[in-house]
Amino acid sequence: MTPLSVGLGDLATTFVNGVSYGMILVLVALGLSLVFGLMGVLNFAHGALFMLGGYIGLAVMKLTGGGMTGFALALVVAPLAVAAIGAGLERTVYKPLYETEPIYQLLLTFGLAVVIEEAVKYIWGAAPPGVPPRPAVFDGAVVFMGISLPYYRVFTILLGVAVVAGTALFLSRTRFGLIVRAGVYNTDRTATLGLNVERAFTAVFGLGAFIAALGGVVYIYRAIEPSVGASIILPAFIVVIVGGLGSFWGSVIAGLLIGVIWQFAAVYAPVPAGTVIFLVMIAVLLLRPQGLLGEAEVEV
Amino acid sequence: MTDDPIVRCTDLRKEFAAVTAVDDLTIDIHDEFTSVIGPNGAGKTTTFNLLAGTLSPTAGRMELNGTDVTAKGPESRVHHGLSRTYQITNLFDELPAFENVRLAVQAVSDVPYANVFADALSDQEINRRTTEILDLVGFEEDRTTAAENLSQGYKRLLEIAIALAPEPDVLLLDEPTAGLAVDKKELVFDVVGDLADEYAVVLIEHKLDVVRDMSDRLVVMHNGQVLDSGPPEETLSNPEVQEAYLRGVTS
Amino acid sequence: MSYIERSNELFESVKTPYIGAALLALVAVFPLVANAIGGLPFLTSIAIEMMIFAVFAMSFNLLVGYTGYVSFGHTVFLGSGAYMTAVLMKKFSVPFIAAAPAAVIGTGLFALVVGAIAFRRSGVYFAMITLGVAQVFYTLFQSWNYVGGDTGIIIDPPVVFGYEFNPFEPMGYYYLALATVVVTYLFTRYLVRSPFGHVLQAIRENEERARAVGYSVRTFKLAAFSVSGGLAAVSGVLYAAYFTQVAPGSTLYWTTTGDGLFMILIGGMGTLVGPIIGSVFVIGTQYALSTYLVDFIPEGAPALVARLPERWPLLLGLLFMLTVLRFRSGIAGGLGFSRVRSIDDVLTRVSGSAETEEPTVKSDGGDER
Repeated sequence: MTPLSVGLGDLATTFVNGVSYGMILVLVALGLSLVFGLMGVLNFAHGALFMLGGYIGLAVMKLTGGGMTGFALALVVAPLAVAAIGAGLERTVYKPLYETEPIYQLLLTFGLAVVIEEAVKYIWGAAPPGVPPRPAVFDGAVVFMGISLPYYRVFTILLGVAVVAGTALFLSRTRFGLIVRAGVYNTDRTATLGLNVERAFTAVFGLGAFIAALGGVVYIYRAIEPSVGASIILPAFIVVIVGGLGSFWGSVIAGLLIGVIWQFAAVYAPVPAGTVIFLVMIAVLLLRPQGLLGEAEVEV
Repeated sequence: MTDDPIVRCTDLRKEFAAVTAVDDLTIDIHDEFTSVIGPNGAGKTTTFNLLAGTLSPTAGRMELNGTDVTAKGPESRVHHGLSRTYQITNLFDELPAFENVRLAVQAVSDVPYANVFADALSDQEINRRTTEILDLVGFEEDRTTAAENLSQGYKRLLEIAIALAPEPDVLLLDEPTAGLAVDKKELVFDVVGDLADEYAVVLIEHKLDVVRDMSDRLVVMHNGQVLDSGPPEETLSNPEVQEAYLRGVTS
Repeated sequence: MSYIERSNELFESVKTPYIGAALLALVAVFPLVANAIGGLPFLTSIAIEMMIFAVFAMSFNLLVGYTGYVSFGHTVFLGSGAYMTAVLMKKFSVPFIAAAPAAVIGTGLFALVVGAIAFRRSGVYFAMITLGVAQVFYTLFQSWNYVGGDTGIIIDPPVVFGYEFNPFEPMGYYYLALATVVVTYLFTRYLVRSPFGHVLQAIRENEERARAVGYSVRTFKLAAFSVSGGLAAVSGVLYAAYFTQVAPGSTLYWTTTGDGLFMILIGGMGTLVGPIIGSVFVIGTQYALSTYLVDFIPEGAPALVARLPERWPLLLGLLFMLTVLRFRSGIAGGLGFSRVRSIDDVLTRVSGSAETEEPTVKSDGGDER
């Protein structure tokens, strides 16, 4: 092998890692973006729901003795549970805030993030939890054109694609999706059309929590711990801002982009990856505040 | 009336994405009572926002007392003699009524901002002026009441009082009686009528019958354009105005 | 209702400067008392920490409570003050007495630059830019060897005019911190009652209208941000001097900003005393639970009980949420402090005849009701 081809192989591996990490960011950012688009609330606590999904998934896996069955069950049960919790929070905690100033929304969701993280530490302990061995199915890698693609990364990417496609279809083909899209466009008008905006709010919040929890379950085999919620919310915010607040496809594209930038920065940049993506965000905010796919005129 | 207009707009235009909200507005405002009328969506409020500098125009030019203010924001236009009210009351909600007006007086007064040891409330000249303005608009409610706790009528009066604080040459009033009960409307219009003696007033109003008698001049807007402008009787007899506007509104 | 009324009555008497002076005197003799009951230096050290963060919270409150802008990156200015002090002392052998003002002024200028970027946007965007700036410095300093990476910089306790501060005999620190709190309180009190401070409150209430009446709000916001940053650096200087170690995890990470928000909200956002109350409450709760509650937990208690003392942030978080949802005026509000300055005096003065008597100087902050 020539040095060049080794270099290309490294680049490709970094790229795939980036896409896989990016998919997890997309799973967090989708709900964040949907909730912002519909309700105008930037939900600081969304990362905590992601983390909570991981912990509930882990509990399910431990109850069912791990293995493939446990993991599959976790992928179903945890998102449903977190969706229910999210919907409940929307009804009780978020609802009173829609009419108040953004400053209080920011503060409240920040407080909620702390509370969820602390509650998880209280229930399951502050240290990183023990994780059952990953099902053997995920060991090994596909070798494609000389590039090795670990199964689990491929699985993460495929799951992400499925979720994105499913959510896109749901939003574009169902009556509920119509309400959501109309609501993103104009909440008042949607209400005057007689569509039930309140229920849409709750459902969208639940949907966002569902998707985030799915990401959390996938994250179990990376490095789940209580602080993951706080550390994932920052890149997820960056994704949503770079993609354009409230823009579905913006979040998808920006998620993958930020994931890839992150990995490349981690491997090649002289400064930490965290620094690089924040610089990217600040640059986007200043040069193109509406984000990549956001609407042209943003009231900021 | 002097020859030089207070406000001179030349081909002022505002586009939002694909929509042209105000289309090549050319208008002079003199020291008189001007009412801008037109149906909803005619571009009246956008016109106000352009005049006040809240929105910057896509194209065109605006002069205020002979100065080109096209690129200047509202904070600068106030100092050039233009002040406005808002259709939806836009106050310093939590602050007392008195402080709402005092802030507006302070904004055009010579104040030592760098001196952190100065007390904002101890400037007697500003306090006196604030009191005068509140008296002028007939603000008889408790002046320590927070703006958000005032009745609609007093909120309206406070709106006007804030706009009067800089002693503007031209005063823009955006539907000052919107959302008021009939008797309160009369109260506010009495105040507006009095103001017209001292200031050049530009009034946006939905109801034509109210302003017909008060105004020296009507500006009729339709689809972002000025359909006609002139003395009320003349303007209203314009068949084009009747066709485009009156039919839709007076029904 | 009766509770509020009573506390208001109570506060009527608290309003006099005597009460404030008495409280101050009490705080001033505290270390001597603590010494007598054998709690020194532990209790004193807690009090010092409270005071350092009271200064931080007061600086933050100037921005959040008075100007109406939530920054998620305010800790970067605490960090800046602490790091500048530490770097100047350690790497350039600058004495503390010179390093401290340099760090405060340097941070004020740094804040001016950050503000110039961040104030190009508002609301959520502003919050995220400030968070971004703080995170950039956090991640950079974690891996930058010059400033010691994760461990940070360790300095010697300062020596001022021959007096050697000693973390194990913290009297000197205690009075230094106390003096700083008093000066910061007085400074912010003057500031928010000055014409400048009133404009900040106008911006908080309605930025659009503040512009429309003729204020160049951008200039005012920048000035407020810079002053707020400089004051945060004051707490950073104290931090460096007292803890003698400046590390990214404790001075630059966003949880410190979060602690500041807890203090402001629970204590009473937009009031002068709120941040002080909040700092005492938050740090007090933290120590009360993590230090004293432990003694009540029996050996071999179930995990959920044993973990309670460590989870003080859970309690604070719930309290914080409750404050945002139900009691926005915080503890200070409950005690009768309002975030809107009373204008009764002015009205009596104005409505009175031309030769009214000299205004009676109100004794307490711009925040009495």
